[in-house]
Amino acid sequence: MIDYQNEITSLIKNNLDYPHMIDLLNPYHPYDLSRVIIDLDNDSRLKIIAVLPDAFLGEIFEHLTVNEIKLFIDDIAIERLAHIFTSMDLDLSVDLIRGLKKTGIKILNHINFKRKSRILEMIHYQADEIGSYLNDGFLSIDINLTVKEAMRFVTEHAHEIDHISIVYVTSHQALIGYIRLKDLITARANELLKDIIETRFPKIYLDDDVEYVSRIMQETRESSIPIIDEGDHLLGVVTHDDIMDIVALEEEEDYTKFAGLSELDHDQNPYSLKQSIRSRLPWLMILLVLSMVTSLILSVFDARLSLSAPGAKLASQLAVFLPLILGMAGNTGTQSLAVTIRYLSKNENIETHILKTMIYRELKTGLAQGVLIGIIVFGMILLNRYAGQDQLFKLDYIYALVTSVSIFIALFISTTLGALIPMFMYRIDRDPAVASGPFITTISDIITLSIYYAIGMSILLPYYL
Amino acid sequence: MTKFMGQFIDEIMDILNQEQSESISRDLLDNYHDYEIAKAMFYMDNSLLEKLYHVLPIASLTDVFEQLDPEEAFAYFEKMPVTTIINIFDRIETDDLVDIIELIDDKEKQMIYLSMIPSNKRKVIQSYLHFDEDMVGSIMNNNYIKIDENLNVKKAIKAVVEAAPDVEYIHNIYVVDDYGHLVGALSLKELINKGNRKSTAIKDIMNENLIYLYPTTEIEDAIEMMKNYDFQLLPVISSDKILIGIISFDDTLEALSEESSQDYASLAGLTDVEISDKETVWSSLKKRLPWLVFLLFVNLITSSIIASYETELQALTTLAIFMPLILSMAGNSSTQGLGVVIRLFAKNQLNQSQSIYKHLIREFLTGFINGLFVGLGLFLMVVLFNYVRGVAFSESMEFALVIALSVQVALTVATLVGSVIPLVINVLKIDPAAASGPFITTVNDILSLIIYFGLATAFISNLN
Repeated sequence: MIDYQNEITSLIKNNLDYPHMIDLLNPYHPYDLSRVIIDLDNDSRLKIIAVLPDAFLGEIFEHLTVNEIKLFIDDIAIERLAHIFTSMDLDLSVDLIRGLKKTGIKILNHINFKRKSRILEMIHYQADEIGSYLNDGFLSIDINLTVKEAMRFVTEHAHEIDHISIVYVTSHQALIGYIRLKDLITARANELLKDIIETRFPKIYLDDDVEYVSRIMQETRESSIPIIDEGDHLLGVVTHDDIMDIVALEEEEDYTKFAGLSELDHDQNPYSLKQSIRSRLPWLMILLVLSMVTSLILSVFDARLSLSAPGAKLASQLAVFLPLILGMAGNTGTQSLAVTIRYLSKNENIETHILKTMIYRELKTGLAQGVLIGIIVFGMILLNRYAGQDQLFKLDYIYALVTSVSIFIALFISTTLGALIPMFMYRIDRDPAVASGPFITTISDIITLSIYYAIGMSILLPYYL
Repeated sequence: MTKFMGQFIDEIMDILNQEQSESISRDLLDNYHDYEIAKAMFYMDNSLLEKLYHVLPIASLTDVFEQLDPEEAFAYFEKMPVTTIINIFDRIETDDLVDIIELIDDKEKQMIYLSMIPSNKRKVIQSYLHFDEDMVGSIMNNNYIKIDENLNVKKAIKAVVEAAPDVEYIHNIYVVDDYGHLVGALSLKELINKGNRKSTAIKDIMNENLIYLYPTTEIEDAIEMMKNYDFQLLPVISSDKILIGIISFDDTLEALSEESSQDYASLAGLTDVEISDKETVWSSLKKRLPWLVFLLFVNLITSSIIASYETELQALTTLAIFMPLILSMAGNSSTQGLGVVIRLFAKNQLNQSQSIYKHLIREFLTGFINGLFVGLGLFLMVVLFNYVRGVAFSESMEFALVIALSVQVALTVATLVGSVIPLVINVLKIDPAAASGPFITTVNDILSLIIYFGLATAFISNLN
């Protein structure tokens, strides 16, 4: 793979005073240019920025994060920034303006009225609302045109529009349908648009959840999706590059939650220690408090067991299999959780009967796993006892039975729980991914341990006393 | 009358050796059976083979290749121009193709050959062979427009319009030279904008700073490139720069969610995290049970460790009370550490020893500092807990200190283990599923127990 960034860097370093820098840099992709500009020393960077045209800089700025742009933004005149920002994609300029806070407002005040009001409309949308990804660079044509007229319109306007793969078709400002440019090109010149357009498209509104839209995008596989208002007016589009970002972000978010990590700030250095602690410690503290419940429950049982020497003996023997039971229950819980979260986040509008089937299946899976693992544990304990004392007493059988039955119940419950908790979240319209692996493990610890000690104490204690 | 074995071979060689027009050679060769030509190929040198590929129509050439052993066929493919291979792969029977692809040992080479198969056929073949689906070659397709570099704008537009009905994406147009090398690219928009300058040569307006992939490029890298460069399509070229296909944004999206399913699977200890509506109890069990049984046996180590501390546990039953807490806190922080490593791996951010070193230092410090906070919190809770239960203050302090210290050490170790095990496994090239969350949690259970009981017996006075 050719490393364009090195090429650009040396090109810039060798031609720093060349007045027509734009001719040298124009053949490169704005993304590569953006990486090079960030890595340049301050003086060279300002020199380059000074000689490049505003619209060209706008394309480069589209690939910068807020933190990157802060490196040099104070050295550029506000009026110039306003021009650069005006030439950018609407959604990306809104992101930067929002992130730049005070400087952002200053820039905004110098942007022309029409654009400014567009930006102000968009700035209210939260990062999880699709409005924050709205682009206004799209083609829309009237439904009453013929293919020939439409083609002429497209060729006339193509240079000023970013996204021309899909042409939107409106009637009295209301969105009626769309046609792919590919189909428009191959259609016969005198055909009417209304006869060939696609009229089925998902209705997406500005405040729709990004996650919902990303699922629809993955299903439709179109390169852009229209956003409309209640009156079906076409407000803008979300394009394939945004789709890519949204899906990547959604996947990342779900995954970090699953691993029990708080959301990461993508602007920051991935090697920062501060960030790594900030993403983990809050969760650990919550889990610490939750785990304390396990200790409290155990202390209740302990209060009873530690009264007598035989009780203490039983306590120590119950403790032997405690980590094993908790560990196994946690493992099965995590497995069914992962499967369920993945299913819920990838399918839209799941019907209740499917949810029921899923729960039913997890129930049965838990049952089967519990029986199998339980039998193995039963055998292992007896084998171990037999190896130690060359014969088996009645108590050994009971001890083995208690342990394996506890494991069976624990596996059954935590497998079911791993599926039930995210489904419950889903039903009450919360993000199922909130239930993380560590969270499920801790909850299953609490339940499992109560079952184990309750069964163990009530059945075994009389034999020890 | 049957001919001598050697006779038809000599005849075929003679036909190719003679200086005569291609059509005459073609007609003459047509008299021979595919099988006979296949046999004769064995005796041909490279220049003669090249001539044969040239003279025989692709359909006949494909028939000839179907007659060859997979080993032989592969040996010939190695010296054949990419475009000819693609043409043969397009026509050859799928089962013959499976045999050929299957026998290639080198994974990368296998991917390169796989990428030359038309995408619909490739899917079938992939389902026969168990493929690593993490390279670009497996999601590549041939649904794109390429035009000749010698065209002008007018002819290029005509070519695009003609090709459009059969192609899914026409937004990016690729420019190739006479040999099929990728030499440039331009967007449909750029072409339309130049529409009024009909005689301009495509060469003069195309973009020559190409962003491209190889069939062996990791899909994760392709996803990153697509995100950064905002293209709908990215071209895929062979090592000698011949354009062999594209990947489109929608296939990349699918691959993206596939990648993240893999991350889930490895964090949860599953072979596969995707389920369909037809998933049955049995298929669920098959995915989960093997791991669970394995983990069960690893977990027995925890039991035997505890069993060896039975006397201590009888002397101080309170020890057991905090055991689950310490284990689960260690498990949680190792899951977090593992979660980060899996992601870094997926993004290829851990391929230099320097970045690994940096990462491990950071993990160690993260574990240590988190341990400090959690230890402190736990210390206070234990003191409070013992106060409520009416335990004597001096005894309570000693106990709380041991618990807090155990959590501190266990957390530091666990966080580090969560990132070291996957790294080691990666270096040793063992199945990465071995680095799954449950396995690492179990390993940490063992370590944490040793730490906990070790510290308790060392520091709690009435246990000695």
